[in-house]
Amino acid sequence: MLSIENLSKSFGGVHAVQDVSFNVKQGSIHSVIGPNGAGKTTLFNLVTGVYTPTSGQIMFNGENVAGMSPDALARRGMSRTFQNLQVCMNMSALDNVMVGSHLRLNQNLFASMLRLPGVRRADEACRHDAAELMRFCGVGKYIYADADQMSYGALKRLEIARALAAKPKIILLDEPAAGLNHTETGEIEELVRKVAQSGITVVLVEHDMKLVMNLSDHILVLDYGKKLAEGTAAEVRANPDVIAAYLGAAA
Amino acid sequence: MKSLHQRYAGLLVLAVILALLPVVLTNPFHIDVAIRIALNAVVVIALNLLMGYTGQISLGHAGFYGMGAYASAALTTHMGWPPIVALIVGAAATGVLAFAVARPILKLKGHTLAMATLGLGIIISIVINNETQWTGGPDGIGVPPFTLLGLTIEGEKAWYGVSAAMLLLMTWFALNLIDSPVGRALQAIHGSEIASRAAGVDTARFKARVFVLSAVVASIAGSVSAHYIGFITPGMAGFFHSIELVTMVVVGGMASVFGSIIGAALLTILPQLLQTFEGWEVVVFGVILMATMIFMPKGLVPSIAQRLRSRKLKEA
Repeated sequence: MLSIENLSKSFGGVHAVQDVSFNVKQGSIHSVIGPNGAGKTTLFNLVTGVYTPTSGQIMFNGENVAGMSPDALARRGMSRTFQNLQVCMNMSALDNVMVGSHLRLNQNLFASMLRLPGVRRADEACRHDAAELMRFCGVGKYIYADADQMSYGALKRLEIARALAAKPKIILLDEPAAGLNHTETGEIEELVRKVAQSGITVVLVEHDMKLVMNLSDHILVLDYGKKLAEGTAAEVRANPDVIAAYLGAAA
Repeated sequence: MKSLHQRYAGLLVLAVILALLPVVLTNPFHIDVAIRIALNAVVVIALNLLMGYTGQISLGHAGFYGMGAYASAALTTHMGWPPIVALIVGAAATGVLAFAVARPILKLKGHTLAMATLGLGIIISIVINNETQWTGGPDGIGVPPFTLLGLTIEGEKAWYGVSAAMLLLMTWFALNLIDSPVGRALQAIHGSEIASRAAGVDTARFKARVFVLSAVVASIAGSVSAHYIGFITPGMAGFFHSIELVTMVVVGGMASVFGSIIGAALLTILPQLLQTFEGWEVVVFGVILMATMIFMPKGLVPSIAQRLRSRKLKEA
C-alpha cells in the first residue's frame, strides 16, 4: 500500500536520506530502525509531507504523494504521531482526540456559529467516538481532563487516539516509546498490536529494540541515510552489517 | 460532555444582566458607557477568536473597525445610500480586503505577523486621513442617524437595545463556534500547527476564515458605532485604538469569550473613572495593566476561574 522508491533528501551538502526504497504491506507492522543520525526522522518527515524529497517517489495507494502537504496526506488516509509530543495543551484531552476526526465533520463556519442541528448531532457522535477511542488507548480516565493535566506517558497515548480518530488506512508512529519506562513500553506494545489487528497498517520508527523485535513483521535498517538491511526480526538480528553498525565494526 | 444548561448558563447570565442594566442605570451617561462597552465587546470577542483561540495576533483591527465606520459615514453622506446598505457594503469591502491580505500575512508568525497587521492598520488609517473629500480627513465627518424601513434608532434606550442585542448574538455565535469542529480546528492551530495539519486541518484556509470573520465583525461594529456617536475622527481607525482592543483581549483573558466582555467593560470604564486624576490617569492605567500581566498573565477571567477550580479541588 505504501511503496518508497529511490527516495533521497539532502540539506545542502548533507545527504540525510539516500536512495532508499522499501514496501509496506497492507495490515503489517513495518519498523524503521538505525543508529542516531541514520536518517530515520528525515525519512519519516518525507513520508508524512513535512519535507519535500530531493528525488524519488512515495507511492501511497497507487498515487505519488511525494511533496504533498500533511493535510492533503491526511485526506488520503495517512495519520501520524510525533516524537516530541504535539498535543494541544490549550484544549481538553477529549477535544484533542476530536480534532483527529476533523475531516469527517462539517467545516462550515456559519453552520458552526449557528450550531445547526446537523452539526450538533455529528458533534455529539464524534464526542462519543472520541471517548471510546480514549478508552481503547488506555486513557479513559482522562476523558474529562485538560491535556495539560496529563502525564507524559498518557499524552503519548492521547496522540495515538487522535491519530486513530481520523480512521486512517495507515498510521505512522514516531518513537511511541521514547521516554517511557519498561511497564509503559509494554503497554504501548499491546496498543500498537491492537491497532494493527484492527486492520490499520503501522509504520514504526523506534529506538527500543525489544519493542521493535517483538512487534515488527518487517524491519528496515538505516545507516548514514542508506538502507543497510531489510527483513524479518530474525533476519535483521543475524545480519552482520547490522551488528557492525550498532556495536562497531569488530563486533 | 457538556449539557445544554452548562453550555448556555453564561449566555443566560449575560442576558439577565443586559436586561436589568437599563433598570439600574438611570443616568444617561452611564447608559452611554454601557452602549460603548457592548459595542467594544463585540469587536473584542471577534478579535479574541483570532488571537486567543487561533493564536494569530492582529495589531491592525482598529483599521477594519474604521473601514466600517467610514464606509457608513461616507456612503450615507456623499452618496445618500441607506445606512443598512452602507453597513453591508462596508462589511463586504472589509471582508474582501481581509481575505486578500490574509493568505500572505498569516503565513508570518509572532513578531512578523504583529508588524504586518500593524502596517495594514496604519495604511488604512493613512488613507482615511488623506482622502479628505470622502472622509473629512483629520477634522472628522458627521454620520446621519441609522434609519431602517422608516424607523430611526434614537435615544439612549433604543441604542442600548441594539448594542445589547448585538453583544448577545455575538456571544452566542462565539460560544457555538468554539465548541464546534471549526472551533476545535482553530484551537488546534494555536496548540500545535503541525499536529493540526497532520489531522487534516487546512491551516492556511482556517486562519484566513477566522481573520476575515473577525475583520467583518469589527467593520459592522464600526458602522454601528459611527451611527451611534454621530461624528467620527480618524483616531478610531488608528494604531492606539488597535492597541486598546488587543489590551482588552489580553486583560480580560485570551481564549475566553466572557473574558472579552469583562476586558471591554474594564477598559472602557477605567478611563472614565480615572479622569479625576487629571493627567495621571495614563500612569494609573499603565500600573493596572502591568499588575494584571504580572499577577494574572492569563487574563482576569481564566485566572479567576482557575483559582476557583483549584479551591474547589482543595475543599473536595
